[in-house]
Amino acid sequence: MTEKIYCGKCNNMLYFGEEIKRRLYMRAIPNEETVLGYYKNVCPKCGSSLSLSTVKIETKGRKTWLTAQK
Amino acid sequence: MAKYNKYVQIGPATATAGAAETAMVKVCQKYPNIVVVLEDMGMPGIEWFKKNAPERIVECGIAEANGAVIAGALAAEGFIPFIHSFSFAVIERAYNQIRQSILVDRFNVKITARDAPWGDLGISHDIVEGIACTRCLPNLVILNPADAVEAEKAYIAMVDYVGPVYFRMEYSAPAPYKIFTEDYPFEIGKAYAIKDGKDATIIATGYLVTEAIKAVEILEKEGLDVGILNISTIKPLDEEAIIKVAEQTRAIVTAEGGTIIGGLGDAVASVLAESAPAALVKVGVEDEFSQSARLTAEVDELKDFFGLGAKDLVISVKEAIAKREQFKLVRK
Repeated sequence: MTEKIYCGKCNNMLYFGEEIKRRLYMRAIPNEETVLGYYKNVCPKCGSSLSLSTVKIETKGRKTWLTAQK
Repeated sequence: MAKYNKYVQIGPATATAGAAETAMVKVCQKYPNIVVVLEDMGMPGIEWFKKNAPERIVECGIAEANGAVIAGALAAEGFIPFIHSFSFAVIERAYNQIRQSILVDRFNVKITARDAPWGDLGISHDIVEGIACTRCLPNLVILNPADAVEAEKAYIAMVDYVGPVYFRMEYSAPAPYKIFTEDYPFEIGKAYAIKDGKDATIIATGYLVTEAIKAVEILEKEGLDVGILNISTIKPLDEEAIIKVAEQTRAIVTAEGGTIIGGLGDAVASVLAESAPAALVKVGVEDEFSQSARLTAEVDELKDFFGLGAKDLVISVKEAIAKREQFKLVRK
């Protein structure tokens, strides 16, 4: 499963990688807020403020038995 | 001349090496936490560092695995380390260290590396499998710009993005055309349609975009309207853009200066098979190693040898169109 986080205003990609909540070992990034913090909560491209309510989060993965239960 | 889209103005060949250097000097002034981890090689912008910030240079010598671990550790402490060498060294020799010490924790390390099917340093140093062996690694963004304008913009975008990036440099390839205008809006993860087409689409990356432009001009004279989709971000792949052109033409040729096994061609094939069936011909190096070339004439000879030139793309486009008819695929 992969995850992408985009700035909701200019669509600049801020994160690409494993789905954060599935990670057991990526201790440096426990949640999406941490990613936004790396940018000091400001989009480096358009300068708009970043928060969980202003970014677009996309996760992608094949349908599995586990995901079908949710 | 074929009609190209906005932000495209084809100009004379311009080497991309200078663009990376210009970009590096810009970003290292903006980000004082950039450090360069050298592996007995230079790096774009290294002269700036030697003159202005020698304390930001870490020389590891010919110990690329060590360099990757040091870069990961520096990133963990808040630096933005750059490591640079040939792909055979910086990627392949340090593969396990990149995986364990950079990608598992998704540390903000920038890997810039030279990779091409031909070059003056030969089969040992100029490799074709850089994209193939990195595409399968999670958390890694892979960039492969088409011209000098895009190279500079991609380099800057790579630093603005927080996360590990592999920036592929085809320094051994002939200089590409100047393709984009200065106001071209590069975005990581977005493909750009250089030209729309009705009969087929060439999905190309890096230097092969230049050959695709030459091929489209030849095909235009033969009455075929062929589009070009520039894929400068190999990962994450812009699947939406690929599906769009596949639905429009149902005849796709991929073009890359690397191995077709695991490279761009295979990535596009996966998208087509899952989401937008289309006839496909993959142009690239076919399960072979690179070859040495010191002179332009030798590179041109190798272009024919590997089948990576415009004339080869012309043949492949016609083959893709014939396959579409054979498979009875219907265009939108």
